[in-house]
Amino acid sequence: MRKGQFHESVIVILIFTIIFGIALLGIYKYNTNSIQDIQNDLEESKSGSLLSQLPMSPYLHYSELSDEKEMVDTIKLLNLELEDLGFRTIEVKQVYPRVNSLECNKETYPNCDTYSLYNKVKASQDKKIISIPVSLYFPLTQETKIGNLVVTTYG
Amino acid sequence: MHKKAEIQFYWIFVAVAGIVIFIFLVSFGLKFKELQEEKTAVRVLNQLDETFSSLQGTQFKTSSNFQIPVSLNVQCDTLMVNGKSKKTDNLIFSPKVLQGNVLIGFNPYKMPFKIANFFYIIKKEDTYSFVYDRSNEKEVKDIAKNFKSYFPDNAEITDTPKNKIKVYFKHDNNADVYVDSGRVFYKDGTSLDYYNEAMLYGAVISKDRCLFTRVEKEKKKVIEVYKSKIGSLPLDCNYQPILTSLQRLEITQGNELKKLSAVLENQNKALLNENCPVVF
Repeated sequence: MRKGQFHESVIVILIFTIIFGIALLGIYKYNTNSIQDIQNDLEESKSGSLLSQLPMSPYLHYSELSDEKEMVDTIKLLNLELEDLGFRTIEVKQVYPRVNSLECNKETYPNCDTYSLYNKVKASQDKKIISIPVSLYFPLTQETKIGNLVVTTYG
Repeated sequence: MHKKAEIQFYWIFVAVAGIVIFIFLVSFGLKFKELQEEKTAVRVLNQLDETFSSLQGTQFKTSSNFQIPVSLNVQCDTLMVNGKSKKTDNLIFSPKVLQGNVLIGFNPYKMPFKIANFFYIIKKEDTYSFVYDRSNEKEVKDIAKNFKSYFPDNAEITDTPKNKIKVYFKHDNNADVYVDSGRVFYKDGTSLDYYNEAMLYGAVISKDRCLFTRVEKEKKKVIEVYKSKIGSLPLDCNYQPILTSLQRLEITQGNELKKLSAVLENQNKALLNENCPVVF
């Protein structure tokens, strides 16, 4: 065997290893991205499910003599603090009739438009906002108004 | 001699390099397979939990069937697939391991206001007999009729039980589960208290005490919401009696809950008669 043949083999193995390493790196990157995609998908689907279940949850819905109405009880919203739901914000905004653009609390209620239910913001540019219309019930005046339940998910 | 050593070294070098690359490839393949399985497990877990959660939006009693493609472990507040786990907020009463065709029943739990939704999951092959005798026929038929409405093909209300799981309403040696004086007794000697139909069904399907503890916690959280609501209701209405009852409800357990629930319902109704906003 020539000395040159031995060196050629080493070079071939080296080049093969480098190409193989680059390919592995590519697959690793692809997998990391796909895991991130799964994570984002899960967060989005969680937001979707929150949007569908919150209006009928005992924390929000209005009931009269134990009969559950498809309305959000605005008095319940005043003191509500939802438990850890990850990086997202959840708020209910009154859209019709229009009222002062104010955060709702005991002092501003009912002349306010935003009820903040959960607020954990992540310093990220990537955010997705989804919302559904809800009926807002005001037990003190027995009025029903129109609002939006808005869930913002931070990626 | 020198040349022979060179050739030997060459082959050893190629063999070692080959083995290293081979081991690397195999371990990478295994890791990749593992990762794909984990990804599938996470997806399945989340889809299952989302399915349950989406049912939360409904206020009606309902039932449905479902195919679980992998072995799913249900332990109190944790769903597990292939060693991957996910915490769930849903209250799932089911056998510990589920796979294949399952049936889901769903019922809002009220005491007297809605506290949570209960999910009942049974395997398609599991069948239940609610057994009555002459002394308790009407009572048993009343108690079990909703269970039968969730799982019509898997439940019977009978005095001659033929199904796999036999639920008696008095002590009986043939019983897998028997119900007596507000308590559900199991074959292994353990027991669980129940206060209403929703809890009874839960206890018949699963003997996991932890679920009942979670119900208690959920009850306390919802009571807090109503106590806060009372703080924002008109001062010229008397909410003190209902507030006191809510405070009692927070610490009450057992059959006393039923009575207190009825008291609360009456106090709430009385508010309407006084033209005051109701609490629930």
